[in-house]
Amino acid sequence: MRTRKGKHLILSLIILIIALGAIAYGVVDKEHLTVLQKSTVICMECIGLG
Amino acid sequence: MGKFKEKMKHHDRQRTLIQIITSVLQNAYLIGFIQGKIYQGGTKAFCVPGLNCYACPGALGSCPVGSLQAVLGSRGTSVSYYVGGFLATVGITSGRYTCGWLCPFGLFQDLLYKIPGVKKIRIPRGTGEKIAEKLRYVILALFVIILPLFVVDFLGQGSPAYCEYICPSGTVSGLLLMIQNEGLREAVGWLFAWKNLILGVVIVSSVIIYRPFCRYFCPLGAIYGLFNRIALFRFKVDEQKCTSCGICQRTCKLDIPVYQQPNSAACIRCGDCITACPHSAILKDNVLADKFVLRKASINTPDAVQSE
Repeated sequence: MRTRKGKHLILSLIILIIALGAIAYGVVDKEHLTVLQKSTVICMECIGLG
Repeated sequence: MGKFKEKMKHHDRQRTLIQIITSVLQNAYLIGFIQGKIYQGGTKAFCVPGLNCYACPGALGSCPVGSLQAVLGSRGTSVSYYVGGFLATVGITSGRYTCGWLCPFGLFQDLLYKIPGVKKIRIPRGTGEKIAEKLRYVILALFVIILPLFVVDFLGQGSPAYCEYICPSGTVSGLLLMIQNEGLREAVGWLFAWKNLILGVVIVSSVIIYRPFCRYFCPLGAIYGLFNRIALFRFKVDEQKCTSCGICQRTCKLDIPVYQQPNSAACIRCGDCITACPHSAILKDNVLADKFVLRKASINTPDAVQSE
């Protein structure tokens, strides 16, 4: 029988694996390039110039 | 009592030092501050864990909240796997540890709270406070997700509503850029005035209340807070040692009853309670390390060897 801590660990690891998988999928989908594109020009909205 | 204060001060100094080091490392493009420009290198494809605007002249990485809005607002995208996965990874490994130790805007508020000579207000953790804390989730849902996704221009691009109307970290970045950049100074309008008003409120309130922005407005804290209870790095209370004396709650600047809720979503993992507990009843609970270290230890015990 699994302890509460064991169940907790399994849940956390499942979420971690899904999260890492999502990052990998995002990279394949070139999402990181959208982030790069947005962050390498001065974001006028961010600094309050609209 | 003197020893207790010394112990707390030592812990506080240690945490502040780590916050300063991580903030400097995240904003190490010093030329940007001198020239009024931002870094444009490839490291900006990576998110940093804390609230650190990518328009900050020194920023080497990207703010995850800004990045999330940028991806959600781009045409034809409804889910951000990359940024969502990053936020979930940070959350599930350490919960709000980032808030207490790594976030530059958290450091900014901590330093303001240290300003002496001003009477500090301690907000009790009653029903009103708990309801007010929910504002973070409203801001997350409305300004970070819904508005960038659904309010789009004729090209199908959504705007980063949270960055545009709320984020004070971006306003600080703007001010830093404008010191050296005359072109930006000339473009100032009503929106800049509004954002400076928000920044002003955050600054003034941070001097008298501990981390007001983190408590009520930060969408990043809202996300990480959801993971506090299930993160691999958590706090736990040793019930055999705990006497429910309440020192942890009295020490906690957010008034969290740690002995009852060691993994409250409001906890920023500063660790003051661990340092303050006279019975060493509050512990860091690294679930993954515990599992493997304990297993390894049990293999090496004489009982285990005999049973083999």
